[in-house]
Amino acid sequence: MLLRNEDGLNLSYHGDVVAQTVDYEGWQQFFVRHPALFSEKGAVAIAAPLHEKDLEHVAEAKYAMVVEALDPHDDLSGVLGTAILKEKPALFLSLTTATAFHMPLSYYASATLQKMFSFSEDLRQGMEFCLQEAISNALIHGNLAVHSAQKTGDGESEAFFNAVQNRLVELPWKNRRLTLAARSIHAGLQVMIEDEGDGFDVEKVMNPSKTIDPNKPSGRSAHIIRELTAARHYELGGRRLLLDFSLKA
Amino acid sequence: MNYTVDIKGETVTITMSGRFTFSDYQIFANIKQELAQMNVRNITIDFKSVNFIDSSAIGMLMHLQDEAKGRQQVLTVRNSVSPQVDRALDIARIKVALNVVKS
Repeated sequence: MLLRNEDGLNLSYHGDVVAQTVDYEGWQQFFVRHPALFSEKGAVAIAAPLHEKDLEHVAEAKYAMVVEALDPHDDLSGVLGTAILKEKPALFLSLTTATAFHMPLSYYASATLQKMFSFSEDLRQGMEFCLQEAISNALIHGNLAVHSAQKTGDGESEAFFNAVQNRLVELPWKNRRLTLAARSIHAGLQVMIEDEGDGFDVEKVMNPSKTIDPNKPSGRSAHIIRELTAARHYELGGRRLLLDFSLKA
Repeated sequence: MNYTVDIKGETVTITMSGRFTFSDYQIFANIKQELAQMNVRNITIDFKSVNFIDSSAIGMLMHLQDEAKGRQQVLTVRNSVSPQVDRALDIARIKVALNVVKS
């Protein structure tokens, strides 16, 4: 893993180093070309591959930004050139689907934001639950393109999970990115979750008049997200979800 | 998520710990497979040490409940001591349908 301190001077290695020294100059130039990486909040981690310990550092608010690279030569220009990053979000995570699927991102993101913005544990827990739902929707229905139609009967059937399992190891699905970014807004905190899927019919799926059928195994996600956020906005045909959290007790 | 299996008489207890989410479906499939081979009347899912649950996990439990019913078994979920899990079960409005009892 490559680390960079906020003063931009010390590039060092630790842990299971995949990127070799031969790439040192490449990374250095890369940083220079992307001044947005020099966050005021701390260091940046770019890892190939990404491990959960990288996210543990995030939870300590050590990094404002963690980006998974596919390999040491991945130029990441698509990820690091996004308009979102130019706004210098407080937290920015960009992971492949195959990695994000097995990591408790909702926990690390909510814990990091709690330390950055000093909100209550009650709010963090609600945020974690909400982010978990949004992230799983983005990964499964968005990036892996496994849809409810592939459920047989109600809920997550064996066929549904087999489709998920298969696509987690197949291109292009496994390498599609999940992006999570958070920024302060006047009413509190806004978390953006974006996938690289085909989007969905937002009005149909997120229709607030849809209620939970307590006897059905599925259909709770939209309700949970509504319950735990102050406001929600969809962009890019449903590929980007903006979740507003009030930080008032 | 980790789990242990304990059989006493007509009851099997699956004690889970950690996070129980969409990424645990393979582990849960193994649990269902084990249960399908047991000749018991009652299945207890003990959430005592579960500290986080999502809607996919709830869906998995409801599928298990359907399977258990098909085998004339009764499924009970013993609630977590974690307020976060209790709140999640409340928001998901699942406590009655899943026969959730206090731990």
